[in-house]
Amino acid sequence: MTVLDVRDLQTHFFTDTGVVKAVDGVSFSLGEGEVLGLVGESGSGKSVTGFSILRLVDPPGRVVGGQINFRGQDLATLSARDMRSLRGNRIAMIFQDPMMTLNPVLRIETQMVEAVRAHDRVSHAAARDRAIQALSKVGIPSPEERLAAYPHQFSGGMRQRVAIAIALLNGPDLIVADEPTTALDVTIQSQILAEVQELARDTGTALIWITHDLAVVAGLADKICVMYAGRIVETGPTDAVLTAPGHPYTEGLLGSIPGHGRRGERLTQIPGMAPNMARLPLGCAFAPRCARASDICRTAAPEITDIGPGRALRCYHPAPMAEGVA
Amino acid sequence: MSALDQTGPAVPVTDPGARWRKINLVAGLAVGGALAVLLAGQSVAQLPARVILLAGLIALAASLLRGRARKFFSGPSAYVATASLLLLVVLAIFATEISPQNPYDLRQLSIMDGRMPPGSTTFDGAMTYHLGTDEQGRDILSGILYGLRVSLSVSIFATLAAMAIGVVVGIYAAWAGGRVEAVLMRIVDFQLSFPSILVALMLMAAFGRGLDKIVIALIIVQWAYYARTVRGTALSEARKEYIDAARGLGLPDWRIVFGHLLPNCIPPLIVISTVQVANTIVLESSLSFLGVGVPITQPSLGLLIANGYGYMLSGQYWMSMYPGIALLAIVASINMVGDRLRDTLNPRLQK
Amino acid sequence: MLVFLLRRLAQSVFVLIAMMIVVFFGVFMIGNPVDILISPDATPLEIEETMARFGFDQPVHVQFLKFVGNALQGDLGRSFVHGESAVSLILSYMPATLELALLGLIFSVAIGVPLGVYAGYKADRWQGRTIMTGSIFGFSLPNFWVGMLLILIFAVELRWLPSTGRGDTVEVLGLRLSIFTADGFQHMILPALTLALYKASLVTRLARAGTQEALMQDYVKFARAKGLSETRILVVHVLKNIMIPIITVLGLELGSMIAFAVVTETVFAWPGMGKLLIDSILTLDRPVIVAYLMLTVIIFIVINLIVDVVYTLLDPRVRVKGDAA
Repeated sequence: MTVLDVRDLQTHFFTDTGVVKAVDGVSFSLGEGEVLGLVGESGSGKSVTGFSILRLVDPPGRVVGGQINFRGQDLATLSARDMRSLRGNRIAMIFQDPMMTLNPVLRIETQMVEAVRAHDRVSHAAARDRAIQALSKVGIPSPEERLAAYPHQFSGGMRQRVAIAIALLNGPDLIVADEPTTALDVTIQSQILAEVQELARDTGTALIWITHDLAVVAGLADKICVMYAGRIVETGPTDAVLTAPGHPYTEGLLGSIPGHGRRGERLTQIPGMAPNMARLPLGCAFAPRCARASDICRTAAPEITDIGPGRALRCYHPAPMAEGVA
Repeated sequence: MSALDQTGPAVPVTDPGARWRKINLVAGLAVGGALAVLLAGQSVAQLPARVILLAGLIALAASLLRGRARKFFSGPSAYVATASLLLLVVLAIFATEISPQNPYDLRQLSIMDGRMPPGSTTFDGAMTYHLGTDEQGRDILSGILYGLRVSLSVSIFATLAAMAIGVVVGIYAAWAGGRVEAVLMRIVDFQLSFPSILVALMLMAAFGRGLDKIVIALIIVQWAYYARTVRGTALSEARKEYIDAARGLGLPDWRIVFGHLLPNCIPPLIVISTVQVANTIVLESSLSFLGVGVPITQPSLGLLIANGYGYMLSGQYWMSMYPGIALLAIVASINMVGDRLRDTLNPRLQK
Repeated sequence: MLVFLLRRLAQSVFVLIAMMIVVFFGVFMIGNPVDILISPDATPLEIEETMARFGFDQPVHVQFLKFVGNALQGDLGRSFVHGESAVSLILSYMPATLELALLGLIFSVAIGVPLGVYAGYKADRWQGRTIMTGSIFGFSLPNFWVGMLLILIFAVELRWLPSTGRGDTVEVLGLRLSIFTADGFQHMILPALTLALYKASLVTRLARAGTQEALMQDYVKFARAKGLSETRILVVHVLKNIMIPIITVLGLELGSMIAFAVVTETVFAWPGMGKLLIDSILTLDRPVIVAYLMLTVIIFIVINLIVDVVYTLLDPRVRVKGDAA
């Protein structure tokens, strides 16, 4: 059953220097227990997409178009009050930097109990019990004692576990995770990945995992959306995208992962820099960095086209393998 | 500069303060000259000197806002504050010409007209006291115009002098470093740990009343503040590349300090000194109110308010009320302009 | 923590010594005390006797050493005017000033924090701009003129509140205080408001800046993602974070509050040590001026120490670092 169906989402930032289309026509859908990997480099609009779903885009940004259907309700047009009752309740979010997400001057207990009681009229004691359960679920030892602690008394990995526990408190249908492991050590990263995957599977929670690292979503996601300059350039089931990338940008991302592909082969890198979102080129945004770009790429932006079951691509010159799959 | 171009083109050697200097120098000299004439009391050249003074001040303000006017005037309050500040400055400069009466020429006063409410006329109907009179029959409006001049000139002069001293001490401390810096900054910290009003009060108690004395007291109260700020700016400026570049050219220390370091320490001070003039006006008026400020012969707005205070409770409000409104107007417009300047000039707030 | 406290104490002693030197030689310049001690038509012999009695005939350094020696025993001389010990005179006037300054501080927080937080929350809207413009007026209004206006409006015109004096006092822990009697409290409202106005503007600005900064932090966004109401975010998450710098600044401002009480007390004829100071300056009552200054310095030092301690208590991060040290 579909939990979330995003159609043609548009989120723009109205800055002094002009309108930045941070998210420009993004569509995807997500079923119960499904994990979506939203991949792209910084500035590609992947995080803004995540924040748009929770309607937490800070000014001067604003969702200006599209639909965000969550269990039959369009979040884009929902009243602020109804939206608030969904946040942290049916839809939860985990942030990138665990050092910054917990309020430094409030005890963990306060920060967890308030999250429960914002949505359920339960006693402080009942909310506290739920907090203890959530903490032990994410593997925090002696949760009862740790409730009295302040965030700075936890390590980065532990803080992110607390943040995940807070996200789990009300048993949400959807969790948006915005690069939650980027700031952590590699060993802790993989622990948390494994735990989150297990939790999502057990509870049937749908998960949007935002990352710049294809390797992270490779083992985690059911399907992948690759974003570039505010648009989805390639989407499809994880295996299909990873084994037969169609878009030159996806190829570039894959080529720059060490260990992927054959030994002894040179790591490739994507030439050039991420585009200036305030001044995008006329045609395909990736054209200036693309080896296969032709005249048409520089004059007209390609449309996204289906190339197979659940697979779509936004490119005039897709890799031959992808066409073979279609 | 040419030698430097050959060695390292990537080093930014343009001194950011350079292009301001010419206009400001001319306007500054004009203002200084006009003030000197006015202070010397040359009665012949009074009016031209006032016009030059006003023109010089406007030129200085214009060069400050050049290229930033749109940002500065982004809202109605900026217009209101600038207009009212300009009006009050004009009134203060031309007080002698505008005032219906010279309030300190005893021959023009008539004790018969004492404590008359606003709108009263003289016995012969020749003059209307639009804002009433005080107990000596002095026209309140004229008193306010002259008081405005005293308040403004005392504060501006004290602020500029304190700034000059603070800049010298601050730059010297930053440039000298070591023990000199430590000692100077301890003194600054020591002084700044006491509220300005207390220090000023003590100084005035020691000096006694007087225009010169209150100016000196206000300078002593403020210099440390500038010294601390300038030292901070100078330390961070001294680390920048253009100073290294100047050193690389083999310029003597004094040329680097006065030609490069000093001009770049001034812009941050402009905002501070604007607000500081307002604070100084308030401080001066408080001291005058307490009876340890300006002499009775040259009352500032604060002293006018104090003089009328005794009559306030008996319903003769105008003697204190109107000078108070004038004081509020000048201080508030300076503060508002300062607030806008901070938003306009502060590079940290620019997105 | 102990090392820190000891270092602060050593600094304080240094400040005190420096202050003794400055105060003594500063006050030494104020007028000739003999003028007010003796009637104008006194004979030269009488003048000489009086000079000798007070030690004015001795060289400056001898007078200074005597002053320091006495000061160390808590004796800063006798008031020329009141005839009693200057220290005990100041101490008897001090509670009135302290309670006024404290109530002023409370008023400034009660007015400034809500306004500032709201202005920060609505920073780019007309509400925020209006509050900020208002705060500029708060800065600009001269203390004494505000006091006069308040008297004119609330005491003379409306007759709601008394204009001068302390009203009924009651002895609490050996101090005569107005704040605990209804009449006394009524007498305090206007002067405390006058005193609070400037600081309220300061607090408004601090709170606004802090709120704006806090609202950009991830923890606020995370709190929103938890579905908390905006009220709870502002009142709990933002407020708790911005109170630390505000308390620090306000603690340090208590000193300047006491200093500015000089003006307020004069306007409202509030019998505190500020009024005493002005009267002493006008009557050249040297020992009282000296005692006022020395006691004020001590108050400042104590306030600074208290602020440091409170700061550590408020901020859990500092607290833990302190414990570890």
